[in-house]
Amino acid sequence: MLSDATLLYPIIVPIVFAILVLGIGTIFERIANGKLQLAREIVAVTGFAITSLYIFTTYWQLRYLQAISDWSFTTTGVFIPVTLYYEYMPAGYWLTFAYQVFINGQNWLLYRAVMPPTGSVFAVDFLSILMAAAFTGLGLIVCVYSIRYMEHDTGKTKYYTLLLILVAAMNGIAFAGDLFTLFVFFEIMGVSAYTLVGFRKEQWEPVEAGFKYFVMGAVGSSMVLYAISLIYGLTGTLNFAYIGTLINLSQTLNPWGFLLGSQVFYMIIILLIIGFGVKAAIVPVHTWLPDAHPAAPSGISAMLSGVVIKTGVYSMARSLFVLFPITGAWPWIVRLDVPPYNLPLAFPTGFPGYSYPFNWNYALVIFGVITLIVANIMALLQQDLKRLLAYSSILNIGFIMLGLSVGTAAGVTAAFFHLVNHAIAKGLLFLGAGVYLHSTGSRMLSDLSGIGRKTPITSMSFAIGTLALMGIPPLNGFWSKALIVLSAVWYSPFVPEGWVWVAVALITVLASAFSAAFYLRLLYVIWFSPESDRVKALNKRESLVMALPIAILALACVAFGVYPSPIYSMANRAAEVLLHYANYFAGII
Amino acid sequence: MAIPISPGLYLGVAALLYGIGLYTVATKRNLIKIVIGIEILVNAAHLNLIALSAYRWIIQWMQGFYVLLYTAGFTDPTTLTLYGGLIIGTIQYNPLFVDPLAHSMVMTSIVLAGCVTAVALAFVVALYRHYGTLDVQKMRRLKW
Repeated sequence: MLSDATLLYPIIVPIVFAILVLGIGTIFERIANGKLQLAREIVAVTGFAITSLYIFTTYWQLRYLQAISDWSFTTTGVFIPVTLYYEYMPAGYWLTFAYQVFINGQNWLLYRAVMPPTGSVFAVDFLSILMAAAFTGLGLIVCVYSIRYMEHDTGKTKYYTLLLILVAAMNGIAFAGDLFTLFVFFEIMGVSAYTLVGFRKEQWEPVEAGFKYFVMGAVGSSMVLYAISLIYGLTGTLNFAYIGTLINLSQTLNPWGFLLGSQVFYMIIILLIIGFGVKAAIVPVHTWLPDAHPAAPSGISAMLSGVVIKTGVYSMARSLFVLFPITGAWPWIVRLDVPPYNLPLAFPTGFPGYSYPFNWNYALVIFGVITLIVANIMALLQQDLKRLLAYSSILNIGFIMLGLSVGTAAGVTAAFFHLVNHAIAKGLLFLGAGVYLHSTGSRMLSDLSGIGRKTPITSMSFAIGTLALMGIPPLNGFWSKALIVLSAVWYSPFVPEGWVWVAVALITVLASAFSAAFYLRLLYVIWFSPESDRVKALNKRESLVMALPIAILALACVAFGVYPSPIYSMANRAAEVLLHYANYFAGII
Repeated sequence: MAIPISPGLYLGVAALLYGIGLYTVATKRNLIKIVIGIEILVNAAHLNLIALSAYRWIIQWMQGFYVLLYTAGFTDPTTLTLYGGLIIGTIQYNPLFVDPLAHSMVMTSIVLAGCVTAVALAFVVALYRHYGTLDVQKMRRLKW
């Protein structure tokens, strides 16, 4: 369904506000002795709030479209795809069209039918809106938190500008409907993330960590670009829907399978997994993360760990699930737990070509298991609080990878459910670590022992976040981890290699149990250890501007633990989008 | 009409460039050379895109009519081969047609690569101010 440019407001609004912040900040630094500088922070927070509002309205647009689609299918049998899209840059398409029809003398009808569009599209569905909501929500919280946390820093105008651009680029990644748009926003996100990591450039650590992040991220991006060029060479288009259709059609209908059914696919899949995996920090390419997270300002650590690494997971999931659907998952993905139970399908008997053996989910299993093992061991060895939390992020990326690798409705739902839960809890933990760093000036665990009683609100929230990530039942992390384990067990009887999925379930349970070791150590250090010298010297009360965002996140952990249904159903709709890829194609074509 | 030579040569050169770029990033000790290596990596992918854009007509010639026939209701491969020839007869593809999509993508990507390089060089300047050297071996204070 074609929509207007208001669909892009979650991308445009943060960019406009970034320009506003830059202008206002630059002016107010020079006038009135810098007393009006808080205006810049207020403008940035307003920008995030308005962006959240637009995401909310887009979500309800999708809900109404869903209702119309259900009604239409049940009463008239006409299927309306639940995707909003906006095509930009259509000039290339019409120029080519004019050339082919008027100069080359082609039949325009045949040309319209055969030629894929060269224009680029934004396509918004429930998966996009789930991711965008997580990005912007955490962005808003980090922005409020940074008002106090960054009070002694200089160059804050640039900080808020880059933060707004970071969120705009992440929303762009979530809304991208073709590889071109995805890559452009991926690079913009990368540039602002490298710069924010190296923000405190007068110290050696952020600069070196930022450069390391840059080198690994740029090599990863170049791998993605190489994969995109190969996909383009095989299909002649960059649009997700057209590529997916052509790859799927070619599997059954192409008698000369040597061109499209070739082994180049495996190279493309590996390049995509490694390229996006650098941003997602899966283990062989994770080494930037434990350096970049401690070196960045704590708000940015929360953004990086909560959402920036999730864009890698999202891009990987979107490109792999839509372009190269997994074999064998098809008959068992139709049942979903949210209404409508029997989803209307654009191709009711299944999309032709799903029999082609794309089994990249086994590659994800290998990466996921290695990630779990390495992250667990390394997290136990850390003395630095933020470094420990960074390894905990890698661990949770391993859980998400295993959920995605199952590839059924339950597995993908669990992966996105855990993605959002981890964004909330890890955002909380990094913001809490920032409070400790801000008050004691150290992030070593030995210096922070017994700080719990000095900063009660932050430390209570910190404990809740730790327990949530550990997977203690009334909190949100428990449900998503349990669903990852259960989905692997449920899937195992349906494939010949069932033992692999039983092993995945076992390894997930074991890794989760081992991770309790370092989470409990955190709790012990913060609450139950004798106070260190630095903590004894601490006599300031904790700042409410910093404690409030943390308390809100802790409240979210508890609320979504007691009542997980809102996030769960959104994750389930997101999984439906990924798995019913034929519906996605129908929405754009 | 002269049909251009196979794209294999260009693809091979692009793959070679990509290998050179990876080698540069992995082995060079000078920060500037690492940045140059990343530029080579990106430009190898650009060359790939440009080379493939000139051969897009082959892809269309191969696959275009399958989409058409599938939408018209023919799904059987034997029927497809039969009718495919007829359709090819009616659609004329111009081998000199170069796809503008890849070119617009490469131009945008060059701009992005410029931004990334600017950020990288800013990092190099900051690192040089801290360490007084560009040797990456001398500044590895972070654990790997």
